[in-house]
Amino acid sequence: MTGGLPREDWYPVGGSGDLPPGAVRPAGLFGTDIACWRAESGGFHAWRNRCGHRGMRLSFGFVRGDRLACRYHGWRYDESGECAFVPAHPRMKGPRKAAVPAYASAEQDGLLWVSLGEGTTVPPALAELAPDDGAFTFCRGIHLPRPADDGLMDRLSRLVFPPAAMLGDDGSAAGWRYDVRAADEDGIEAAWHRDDDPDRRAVVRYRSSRPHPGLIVLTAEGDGNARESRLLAVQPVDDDATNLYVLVAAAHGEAARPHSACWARRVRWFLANDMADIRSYDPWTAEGAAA
Amino acid sequence: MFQPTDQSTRVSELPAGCSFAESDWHILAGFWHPVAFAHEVTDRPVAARLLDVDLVVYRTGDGVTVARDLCPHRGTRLSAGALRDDMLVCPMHGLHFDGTGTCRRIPSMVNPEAPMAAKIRLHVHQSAEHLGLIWACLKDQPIWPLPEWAGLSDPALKTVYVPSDTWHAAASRHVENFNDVAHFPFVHLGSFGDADSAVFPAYQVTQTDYGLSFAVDYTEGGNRFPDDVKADRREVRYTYELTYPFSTLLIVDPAGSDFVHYFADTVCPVSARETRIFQQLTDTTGDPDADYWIKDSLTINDEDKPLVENQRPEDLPLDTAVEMHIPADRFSLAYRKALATKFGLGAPLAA
Repeated sequence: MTGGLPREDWYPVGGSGDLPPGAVRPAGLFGTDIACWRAESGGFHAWRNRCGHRGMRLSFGFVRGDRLACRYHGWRYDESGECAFVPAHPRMKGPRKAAVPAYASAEQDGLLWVSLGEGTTVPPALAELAPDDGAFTFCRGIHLPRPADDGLMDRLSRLVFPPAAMLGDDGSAAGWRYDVRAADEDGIEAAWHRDDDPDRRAVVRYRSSRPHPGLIVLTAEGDGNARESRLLAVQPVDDDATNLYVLVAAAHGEAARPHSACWARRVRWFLANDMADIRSYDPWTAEGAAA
Repeated sequence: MFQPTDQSTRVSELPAGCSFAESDWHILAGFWHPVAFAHEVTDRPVAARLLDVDLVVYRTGDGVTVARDLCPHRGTRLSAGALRDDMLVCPMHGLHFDGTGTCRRIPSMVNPEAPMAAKIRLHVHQSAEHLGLIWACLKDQPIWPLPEWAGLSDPALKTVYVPSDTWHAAASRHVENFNDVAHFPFVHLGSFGDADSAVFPAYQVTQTDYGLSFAVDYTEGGNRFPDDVKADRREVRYTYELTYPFSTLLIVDPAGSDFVHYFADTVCPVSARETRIFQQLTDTTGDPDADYWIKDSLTINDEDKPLVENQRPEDLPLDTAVEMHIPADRFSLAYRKALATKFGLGAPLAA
């Protein structure tokens, strides 16, 4: 169900800040159950989410120092995955067979990345994807109750967003509406306006590219060549779910973050509830969705 | 939508959509399993499900009857019916069945008690009322006896029944968890577990006539026993007595008094991964505080349930090389070996 997304590739499983030192939580990638945890000293690990002793999910466990402990019988695993301590028998050496297999993991551009492959590659360098915009910073993750199939990827590539430059000093997108003027293979042209202030209007052209199977770059170019890119990174969780990570270009600074987060929430609502053509439903100006 | 016109060649005993391996189903069907608390089977039929088979449990003057939950006339669920004139009445056309499962009355006929009625019979299974429970066996000859529980079989001691719950886990996973002490310091810190009692003493598992038995000493965090012993933590001896395949009596004997607590746990394998829990308890006071012990038991169950439901694989590995075993796991190892070698459960798939 996960279309053209290669299983062995790198995908984000969360934002770096969402996994503080000492935290453990589950993640899914192509239906594989993964325990993500961070040692007190900062190391991020993505492991098979199962204790070899009695099959318990390690994501139910807890971190003590730089070891992950199973919730069931307290077996403690060090950062290499070896069983270092069995509380029932403190003087016994942890069974070597209990070692927990790790998946390739990395931390980059504010995201936690995992690959089910051999780990001979590295995650894509996001800063190189839209050079004019500088680095991307992670803004918000959203959960979509549908697979990351071709339909979803296509839908994501045809999303529009209100660029920061258009919004002006207050950075709020409240009151802005748009009409699609043209939509073809080259992109979408949208005319933004405000009912309460006819003088404020902008025509914005949107293009999208897919520089990597799981990454979509949306670029908005407005009158006067103001340009802004937004990056969407998918995590194909399983046949029923996808997580989507929205990153904003650092060049637009903190100003873009609040309404980007708001936009991400609307995208989530739109994609979770309706897959109709983008022109038939406007995720930005829907009733009740004030910024 | 239609079944073939000739059904005579379809004789499989297996329920439709059986979630067990075929050989496992036939073996488990030879054991007694609890399907309801006896006190819940009174003036109306009760629905139950055992090994993927829908059952109706009803009480007449002759005792309790367990039958397939299916009226042979038009396939209606009898558990949705009623009891009238000491008979089970089908909710659709009102056919009346007595305690042997024989139809005694067809209301639509001019002569409702005509002899032809007696040709309509329910598919009745072996059943027994024992230790406050209704037990059923889907085979004609049970291969293993019903459990006998000290304390709980003593009429002088009042029994407290814990409200039944269903776990989305294999019955065998539940049994192993119930017979496991090494998880107390991690899972039961909110109830009786003690974080400082992680080190596990050596213990031996004994084969008995009915199953397996072992005893271990433990220090419980807190003091939950009404025996007037003043202490913040209690030394106890746990004695576990398993009756194959899924019934356990736990005897808790706190040091320092004559008080003994009896706790029985038996489960209905509803399907391969769904398990209905029946628990009951008593103690040597003869009059345990029902509110207190029910709350205590439900708290403990709530601590165990999410963990056991998340064990993978869902089916208990009977190949002992699949999971790791340490000295604390002697019971679990002996249990898995017995299920496989003594009864033939978990047989390799036929070639």
